[in-house]
Amino acid sequence: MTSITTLAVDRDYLLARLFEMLAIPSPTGFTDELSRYVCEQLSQLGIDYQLTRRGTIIAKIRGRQSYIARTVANHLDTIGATVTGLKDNGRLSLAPIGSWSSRFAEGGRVTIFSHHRSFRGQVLPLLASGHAFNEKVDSLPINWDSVEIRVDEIIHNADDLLNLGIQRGDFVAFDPNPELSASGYIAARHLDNKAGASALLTALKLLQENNITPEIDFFAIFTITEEVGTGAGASLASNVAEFVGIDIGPVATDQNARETGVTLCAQDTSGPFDYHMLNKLKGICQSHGIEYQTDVFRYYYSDANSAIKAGHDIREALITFGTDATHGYERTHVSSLEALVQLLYYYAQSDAVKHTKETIE
Amino acid sequence: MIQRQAIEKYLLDLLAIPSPCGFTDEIVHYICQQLSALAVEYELTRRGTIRARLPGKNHHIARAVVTHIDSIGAMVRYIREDGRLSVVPIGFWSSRFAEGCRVTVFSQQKSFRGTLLPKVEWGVSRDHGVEAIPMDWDYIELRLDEPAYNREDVMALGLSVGDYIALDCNTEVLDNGYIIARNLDNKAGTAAVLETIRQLKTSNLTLEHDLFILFTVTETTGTGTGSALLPEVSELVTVDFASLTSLEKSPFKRVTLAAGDASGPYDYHLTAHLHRLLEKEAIPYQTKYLKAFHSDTAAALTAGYDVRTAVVAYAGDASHSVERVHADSLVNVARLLIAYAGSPPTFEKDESIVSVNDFSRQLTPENRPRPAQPVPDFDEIVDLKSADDADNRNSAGNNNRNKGPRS
Repeated sequence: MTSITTLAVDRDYLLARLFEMLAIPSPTGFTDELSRYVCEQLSQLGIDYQLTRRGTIIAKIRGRQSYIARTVANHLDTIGATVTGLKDNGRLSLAPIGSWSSRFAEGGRVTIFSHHRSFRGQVLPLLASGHAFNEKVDSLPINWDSVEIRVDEIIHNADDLLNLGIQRGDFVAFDPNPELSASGYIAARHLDNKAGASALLTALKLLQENNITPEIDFFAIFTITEEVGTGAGASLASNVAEFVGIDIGPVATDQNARETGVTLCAQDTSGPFDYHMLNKLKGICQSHGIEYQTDVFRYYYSDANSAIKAGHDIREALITFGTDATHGYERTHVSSLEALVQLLYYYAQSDAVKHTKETIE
Repeated sequence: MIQRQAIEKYLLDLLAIPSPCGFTDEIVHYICQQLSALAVEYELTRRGTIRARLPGKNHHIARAVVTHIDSIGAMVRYIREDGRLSVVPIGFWSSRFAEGCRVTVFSQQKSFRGTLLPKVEWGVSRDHGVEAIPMDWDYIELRLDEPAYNREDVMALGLSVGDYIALDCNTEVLDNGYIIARNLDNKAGTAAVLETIRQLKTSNLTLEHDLFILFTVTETTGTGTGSALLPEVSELVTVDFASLTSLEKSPFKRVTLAAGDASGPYDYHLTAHLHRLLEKEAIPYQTKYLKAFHSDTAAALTAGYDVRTAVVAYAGDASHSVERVHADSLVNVARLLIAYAGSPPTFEKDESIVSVNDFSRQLTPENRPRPAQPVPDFDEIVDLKSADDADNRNSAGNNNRNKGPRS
């Protein structure tokens, strides 16, 4: 099924924001610059926002009514790594930031951020050359203790690293290597969740340009610690009744997610999402001809979970852009991001899910 | 001056009071008593979290130091037919370190002594395999030092499932500064914090901002700080135990400034602030990423506080086992806390909502990322039209493929 909605999405804007955000490194804990960038984009769209001390952004479009509100949430932080040791051989040991396999880190070109300068380098397995180690290369385990960073500086030992000013705890960001194909595929690291952020900004632009007043207060939050499980806890007003997370959806064998259309998540590791919210979002897709599919993510957490854990009694949903090889060599199709924009646009204008007052008589 | 003897005195007191997570009322009373003796105001929550406050001149933002006063322990899980007790750990620790522990079991009426032992068929030949018994809490039993040989005997004593078990600490304080005991995690840190408070009170240092000292009671099970913070707290420094690795050279007197733990990186700016203080005060330290560590910082963030977090740890060995610390490391942690209390906040404008103009930066012209160079545009270096001409020549029989880059 192709999208039959006539709603035009500004693809150029979406792609420009996506590629700019990919150029700004933002592993969890190192997100200041990306928060600033998003604030600047919101200002240009004329959208009010608040910024918390650590960098969570709470944007708001006032609705016709304020007795309850809805939040769409999108995280700006990405997976990455941190320096855990300066090795005697002059290499760096590392640990992941966020939950991902070292298999996908191998070969990654990286920037290491010390306080006074940055360094270039590459993640390599401990046995990195077939000429030197022959078949032993194939039996080296895949884990974070079996990879190291080769820093592109003239270094012979741990003291050389120290003298350069590299320290344990320095952030490591992976090059995104983005590519847009003529067929509309976008291949890059960190589509999770900069692709989602670009879709949300594009939806906000569409709402602004069409002078839409949402039915109830509409918050768009950009969180900064989703990859470590605490993104949305501090950013919800007490009248928020509905919470829609925007995030990546894993496309894989036996998964129903696709790289086109919106993939609505019915359940993830934290349990089922709100029944009524899921049905409402399906209904919006159906009535506006937005391509969609539903899926269950078995090994997956998102900001919705962090909001619930922080004690918010909210109806939660998760809408995703299907992406192949998540937390690895990610690829999605621009049409899935456009479908997300359309869904967000119509969702903002929809009625509140019934029974969303804080307490029910 | 931070006094090592004072820290040791506090520590010995704390070690004498059993406080497995969930059984912390008495240690809470002890802390409150010490705070009163130092004329420090505090609030006490219903479950025992203590929020002490050293008032500063400003209140728009505040900072907090947190230390947990609960410890690992165990609980009676089942009373077996042979009169032994099955147990379950409180906190996350290996049964390897439980074997041989002398313990006290607290029933509602009285306390009992006993030992945690592996389930071995004692008195039977070694062929029955002492070595083959797995390291697993299912293979640990509590032998009560009572004449109780069956389930009924134990019940008659008044013991029941759910009774708390505290480990004997077996404390030793050596002249050379080493302190060896169970449950140094985190009574050693708490002793350093108490001495910090005593020092701040007696020196009459005027603080710029309110400083809260939080004593939490459920860190060991992962929820310590959730109910202890106030919205104005912008910075949270956790004091805890961090194990050394064998690769580190002579680190036992140092402070460990951690960059992050199993729950992710700590706040970049607060950690950098502490880093500067360590340098300025010439306190021996090391930076470290604690991959397998959990602490009260994560609990604060999970509970929904947008607070800067950092961890300063004293150097310890063999955490949750027979632990060892050096008094100098505790003194150095206290020195850092004193310096921290007297320092300006990480950011003067650090209210919960900030202007983007005041918002922090992590990248500077010096450390900005430098992307890889792109390869030149193919069309600018290869003229495919002339390549077509070459192919035409080849097909015409002029075969010079060996000159091509594909060979």
